[in-house]
Amino acid sequence: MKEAIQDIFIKGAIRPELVAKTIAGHESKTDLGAHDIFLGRVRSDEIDGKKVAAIEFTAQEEMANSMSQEIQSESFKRFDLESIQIYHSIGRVEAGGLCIFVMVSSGHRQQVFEALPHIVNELKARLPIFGKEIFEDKSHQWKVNK
Amino acid sequence: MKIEFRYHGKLSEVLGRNSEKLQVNSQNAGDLIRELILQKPQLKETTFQLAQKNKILKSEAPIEELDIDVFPPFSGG
Repeated sequence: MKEAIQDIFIKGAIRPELVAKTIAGHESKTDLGAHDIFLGRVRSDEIDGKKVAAIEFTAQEEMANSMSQEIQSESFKRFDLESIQIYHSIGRVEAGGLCIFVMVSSGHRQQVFEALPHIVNELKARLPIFGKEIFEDKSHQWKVNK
Repeated sequence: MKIEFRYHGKLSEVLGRNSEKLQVNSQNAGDLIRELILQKPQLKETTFQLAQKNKILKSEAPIEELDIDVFPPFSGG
């Protein structure tokens, strides 16, 4: 069965408990042989001697959710996956906190190994989400994805 | 026509607001980008793209909505 997530946004940091809960939620699906998980964190980069304390995320949420749905549909066609779970933070996430969580599940490992980087890269490129890096001295700069 | 432009991320800071209504005449996205830069010269030094109905607009795409999102480069994840 293919699943779809309606709203990917979680206010603040993604708690590790959500990762555990999501894995537990798949226990009854006994045909699944593999999950692969990507967890993105807020990194305490040092820029011009100033340390990043947090990132504040804003988004055009409706479009981000619809785009996320589109990426999921494309990925179900391209890879033999049973499930794709996507969560992204909105609002402030302190350094060290998790800000994106993607889990893909399939019968076998090869499919999840191939699908996960593709999905994460597509999400980063196509979701209208904007990060503002807040420094320890309260000044800020707008995050640029590499 | 009067279009409401919604500025996101860095652009809301560059323009000092989250949205505003502007009188414009452009029929497609490419022209609208040029017209927007004329009205908002601060945008000249920035990279941005337009979206309507939750879709990014290619430059030949017709303007059909009265709400347009103005996006700087995405930086989620």
